[in-house]
Amino acid sequence: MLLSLNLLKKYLDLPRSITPEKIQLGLTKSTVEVEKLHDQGKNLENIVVGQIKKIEKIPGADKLRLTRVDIGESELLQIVCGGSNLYEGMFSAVAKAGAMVRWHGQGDLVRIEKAKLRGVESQGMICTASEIGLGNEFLHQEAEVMDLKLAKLKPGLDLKTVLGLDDVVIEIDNKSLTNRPDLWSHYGMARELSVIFGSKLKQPKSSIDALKSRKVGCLSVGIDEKKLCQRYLGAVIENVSIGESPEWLKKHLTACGLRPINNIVDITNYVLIEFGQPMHAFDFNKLKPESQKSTRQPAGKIQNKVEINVRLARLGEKITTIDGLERKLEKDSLVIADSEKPVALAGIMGGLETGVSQETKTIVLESANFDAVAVRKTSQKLGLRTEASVRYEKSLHPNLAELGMQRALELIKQVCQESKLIQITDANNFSKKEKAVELDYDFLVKRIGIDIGKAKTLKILQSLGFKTTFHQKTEKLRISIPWWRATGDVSIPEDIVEEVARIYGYDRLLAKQELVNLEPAKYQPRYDFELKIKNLLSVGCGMAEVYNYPWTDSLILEKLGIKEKLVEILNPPTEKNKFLKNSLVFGLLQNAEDNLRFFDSFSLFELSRVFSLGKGKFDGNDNLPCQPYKISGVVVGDKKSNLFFETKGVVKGITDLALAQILPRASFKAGNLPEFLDQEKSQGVFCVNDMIGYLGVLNPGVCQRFDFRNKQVVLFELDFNLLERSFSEKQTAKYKPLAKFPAILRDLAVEVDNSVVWQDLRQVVDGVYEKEDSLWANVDSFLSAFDLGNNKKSVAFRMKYSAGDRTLTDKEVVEIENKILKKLEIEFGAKQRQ
Amino acid sequence: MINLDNLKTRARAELATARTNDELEAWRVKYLGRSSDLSLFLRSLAEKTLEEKRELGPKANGLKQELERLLFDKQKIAGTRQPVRSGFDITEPGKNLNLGHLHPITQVKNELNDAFKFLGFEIYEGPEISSEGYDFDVLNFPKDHPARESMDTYWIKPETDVLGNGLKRLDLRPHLTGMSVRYMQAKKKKEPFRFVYPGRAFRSEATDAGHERCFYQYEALIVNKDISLSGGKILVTTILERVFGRQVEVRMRPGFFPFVEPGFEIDMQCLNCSGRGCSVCKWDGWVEMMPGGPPHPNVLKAGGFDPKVWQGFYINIGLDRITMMKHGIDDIRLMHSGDLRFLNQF
Repeated sequence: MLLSLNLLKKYLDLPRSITPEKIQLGLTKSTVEVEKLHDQGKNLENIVVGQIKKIEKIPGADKLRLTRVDIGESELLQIVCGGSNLYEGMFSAVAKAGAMVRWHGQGDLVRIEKAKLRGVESQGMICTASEIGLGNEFLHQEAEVMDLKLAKLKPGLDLKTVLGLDDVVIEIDNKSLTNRPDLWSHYGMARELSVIFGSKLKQPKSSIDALKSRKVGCLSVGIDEKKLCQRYLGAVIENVSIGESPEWLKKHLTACGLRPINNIVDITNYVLIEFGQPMHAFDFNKLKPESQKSTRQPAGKIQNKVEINVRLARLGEKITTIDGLERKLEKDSLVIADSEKPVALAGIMGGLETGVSQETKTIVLESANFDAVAVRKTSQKLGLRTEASVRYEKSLHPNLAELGMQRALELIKQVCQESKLIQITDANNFSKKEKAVELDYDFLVKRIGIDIGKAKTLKILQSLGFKTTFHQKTEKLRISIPWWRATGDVSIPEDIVEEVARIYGYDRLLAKQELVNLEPAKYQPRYDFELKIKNLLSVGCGMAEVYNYPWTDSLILEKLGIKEKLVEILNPPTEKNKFLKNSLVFGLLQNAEDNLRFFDSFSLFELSRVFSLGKGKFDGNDNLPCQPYKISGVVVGDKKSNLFFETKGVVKGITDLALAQILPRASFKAGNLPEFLDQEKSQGVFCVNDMIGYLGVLNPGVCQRFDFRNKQVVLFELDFNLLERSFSEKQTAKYKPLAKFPAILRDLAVEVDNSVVWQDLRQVVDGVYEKEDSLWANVDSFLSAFDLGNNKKSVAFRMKYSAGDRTLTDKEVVEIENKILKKLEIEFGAKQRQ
Repeated sequence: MINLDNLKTRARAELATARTNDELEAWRVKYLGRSSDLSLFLRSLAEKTLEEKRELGPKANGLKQELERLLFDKQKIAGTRQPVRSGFDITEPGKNLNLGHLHPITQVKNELNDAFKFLGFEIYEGPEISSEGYDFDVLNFPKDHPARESMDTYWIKPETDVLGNGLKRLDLRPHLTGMSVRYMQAKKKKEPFRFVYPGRAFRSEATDAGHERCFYQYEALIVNKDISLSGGKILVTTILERVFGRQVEVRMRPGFFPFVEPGFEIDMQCLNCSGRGCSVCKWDGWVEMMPGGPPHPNVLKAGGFDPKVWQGFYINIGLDRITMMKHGIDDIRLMHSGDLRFLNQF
């Protein structure tokens, strides 16, 4: 919203010391956020009125013209200009060398110098409005330079003087006004400023007489929807002459970003910005008369009777609004109708047909109160937001309609002195009862945190328009809410806390240490675990953590052949992003592809929620889908490298961290794997009997749908919640006494068929002495495996032998070794390699 | 009697030619050792007249100090440039440990978790697909609040809502605040509490360098029988000082959010210019950090806490924003780019 400082000052005696910057700070700290100040005359030095005397083409330039411009100096200026609306004799704004302009209305201010354009000297610039910061005041097409059409223009006059640009426009952030209908006007803001700066607020002039019901009987107002329209004031004024508004009126409107149209429309708009009451004027003679038979009479003599009905639109009704668009109405839209059809969208926009035009002689002036929700719903359905609807949406008070009507009548009388008010009707049914809040003074002190004093508290509230009664004995405050704050904004004691504290000044509140009950420290292993896992993967394994969106690209789903039903977004960011991921792998594969443009080998991980259709378990009484956390990774590198086993090591690291005390630890075996994986080169990860995830590579068919630049890509995905649960239940490690007698380490290498797998081999080896009480012979570590040809391979591993009561002799060890080799020969036909 | 000036000239010249540690040591013995000319001379001063002592003492001592300093400087240089022998180049780099990278938002989140845990806060998390009931109804959003419209919130397609919520629509949570009511309701005993709930939230809006559809927040709520606006202020200051590691000036000003009463926008004095105004704070001197305020009575009520007895204070920190500020990141979309050129910087 734009505020004109000049207009504010009409109602406010501000000392000179209160600069626009102080107003900005004051409003921001106590009321609403000021986005920026715009001093109209600022940066208009060296910009003068110039008259274009001659326009010539420039050879080789499409849009540029060479102009000669009179700026009141002895010689014409030569200026190269690309304006699309140039004509000879045109008055425009000319920036002389030294002026500051904003190129195409954007970026920083640039100093104008004499320059050569297309080899032609240009001695200045003919400006568009936005190039000299007047875009708000002078709306224009992009390439159009200013076309000044004022009286008394003379080349060389200062533009600032000619345009009377002596105002400062204050731009308010609309979002911070959501709950304050009273601030959508200059008067409301002036009231706020009067409290902030302790200045006097001038009351608006009002003549009670003006609103005394005068009945000629030419207008009847009927309200069908009493809940949606609590008040409708209609006035009939005849002998109105439509014309241009006086300069002062136009200046206020343009300062606030509104385009002057004609005196009547301008007055309704002016009341809107001055008091925040939206108004509308109908052409009386274009409203369908009540009686079908009567015909229109010559203007000036009213014999017809028109009716205004506030009702819901009927099925199939349409209206063409003043913006020229035909709009189909839905059944529950609130409209203003004459005896035949809708003539305005209540609280949003009037109809084209019945609007004020040059021929209008008699008007029906509307100042009404419409329901916030009804206006908002219709405005949303039609996609039509107007200065009127944004105000009604905030919930206005019916009293405001009266204030608006008074002001409009006063202005119309002032601007069209011949006009005559012949009827005014006030249809209403609203409660005039004052609303009040009661609270203990102590409540205020406790909530604010300091006692600012009773007198000061009452003074603040009174200056804001609240009426206060303080009961000395009980220390209870009764606070009556002024009508302009009573439509929902202020209704509970907490609202009063805000009023007092913000005017007193939030920055004067001390940062006070609270007295807090001593509580036991929270033990939350889940977060320790998250930290540990992330540190393991980053610092420990050299992986980089990525964050991806929760939605997936449907192209990836297609490539992976995902057919499951996924959770779907009703209004997705884009059509191809409508599904929510049930696996983090989708995003990581995309990351892999993207990063391969710059890196040859890397590894990434992500810890995040995924989504699926089952029922999830969360605090709260609603039923929500499953949203488990997954910890997933992608490892990318050279085809020849040992990436699968590197990744397997990473996965084992994660499970060891989580399952340290659970025996047996995680195991790797065949399981129910996603179809996009190469079933031979992928494994399930199991904890006891539960599959908690997998690792592996994409199957070749799927893989070739991605552009992996001939690199190897290994994936893993684990259920984080399961891991985290076992981590949380994990028991403290118990110390085992160190072995009294040293163990003996010996390497073994055997030749077996390629079909024999390490896991089975190891199980057999470990099983040989499993049942012995004080003799242990186990695999200490895997060493290597390589192909021998003939479908045979060599497998080498290190054995560890020990006994509980003695150091084993070489002889004993060889015996044990032979026993193991014998077993391997029986089971696998293994032969020892020398 | 020796000539101190000659001695100095000779010592300097010889030091300049010394290359190895052995040569330096030989020089030291010759000019500064116990039986060097200078040492002998200094010892002999004891037998000189007072006048001679006054004249020669400081001069000889000065020379000794000067030579010691020259030697020290020379040793320093020699220490960093050892001669290359037998192909052992000590300047070659050490083993390259690839330490990996945590996402910058994770790093800032961890710091905040630390700070809040230190203050006795519990960490909590909730569902990312939530419902209109928790994200709007219980938070005192009027039935017709614009944020309920599809332009701001991502709604879940009803067909996938097989769970029978009926008219209660499911959404991708547009903020974290709904979680606070889940937490309060789940609390069996109504007692004071303080907790944080970091996470991501989603809004249906156009993205650019400053706006994301998926963004990260860090919200905290403290509820007790006696938490005032002043109490909230110290909470804010403590947290910001922890994150930025220095004293900060905080400003609270009015702002409107349905679930707080009164509502605040909380600004921090720009750290870049100390409030004088610069391009970081858009010449304002202040940077908007977070909204906050005491929970609206209706919100406490929805959580099962009697607003007549309990008070509280919310703060909500934009994690992306604070991370961007901390590292000078100028495009929020980089956070979701998965681009290692970005991630490797942290």
